[in-house]
Amino acid sequence: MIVLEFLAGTLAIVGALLFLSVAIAQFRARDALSRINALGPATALGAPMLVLAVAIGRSLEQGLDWMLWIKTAITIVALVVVSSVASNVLARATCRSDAAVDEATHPNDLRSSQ
Amino acid sequence: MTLAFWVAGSILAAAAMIGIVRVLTARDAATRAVVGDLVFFSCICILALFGARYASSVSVDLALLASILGILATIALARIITRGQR
Amino acid sequence: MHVFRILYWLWYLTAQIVIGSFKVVGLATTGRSRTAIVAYPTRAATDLELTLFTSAITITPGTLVVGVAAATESEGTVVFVHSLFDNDRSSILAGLTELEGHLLRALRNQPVEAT
Repeated sequence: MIVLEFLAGTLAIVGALLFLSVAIAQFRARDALSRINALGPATALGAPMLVLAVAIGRSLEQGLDWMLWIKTAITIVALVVVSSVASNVLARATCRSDAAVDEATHPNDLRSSQ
Repeated sequence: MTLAFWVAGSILAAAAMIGIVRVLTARDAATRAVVGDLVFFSCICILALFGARYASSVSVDLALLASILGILATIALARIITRGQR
Repeated sequence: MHVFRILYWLWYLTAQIVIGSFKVVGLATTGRSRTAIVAYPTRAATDLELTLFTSAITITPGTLVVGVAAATESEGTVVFVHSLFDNDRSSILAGLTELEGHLLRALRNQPVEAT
């Protein structure tokens, strides 16, 4: 039990630190495409870790509940798939709008094809 | 574990505040859309942690619905950025 | 075995996500990034393979699909990929080929010939 409590706490803190580093990386990235790219760790790794930590914590307090674990599994799969599709749509919209791409982006195959 | 959940919630709150500052200092609309997504998921995770602390069963359903339907806000913002083109 | 190939694909994707996440943490601490956009001619034939391939690229932190050019008479489907930590064309293309090879082996249940 103490091992599971330690695991849940570690998962929660590491997931939260991933969110914090992504928030700082939004200042460090130089253009909008890099910022969309740097969002990945938060939604693909940080949020599933936090949801898993919450499920472990609730199971320790109230006993094993299969419905809770099914919901957690659906949440994790949906986070990974949905955030990926959302990033694709947003990146395509950014390219089609007049947002500037950083000058240091080299090679840039989009520029030569237009 | 309770202490770890409180620490994680504080870190997430700090990330959300940094995100709001980034939205205010952003110059293009795409950056605002991305950081808005980040703030949204931070708040969902804070709510899930509070649900574990106070044994509220709604928080798990909330995380499930938010992860499935969170794409709608992003797609709407993407459509606004391109001014209605697909 | 088909099941083992799918499980190996899931393991490979998880490992890539963890490696990329640490690179983004490095970006947050040091502020170092080398961006590039390259065109990758994909071997994915059906819509399902193409959808799973672009989702897998985007979910890996450090690579992002910015657009897909549909297949024409002269050339096949081309995926435009934005890379955050690598601006060497050959190494980006090698990474994408490896990812695509693992995915297609898991989906088709047979070895994928090199092109």
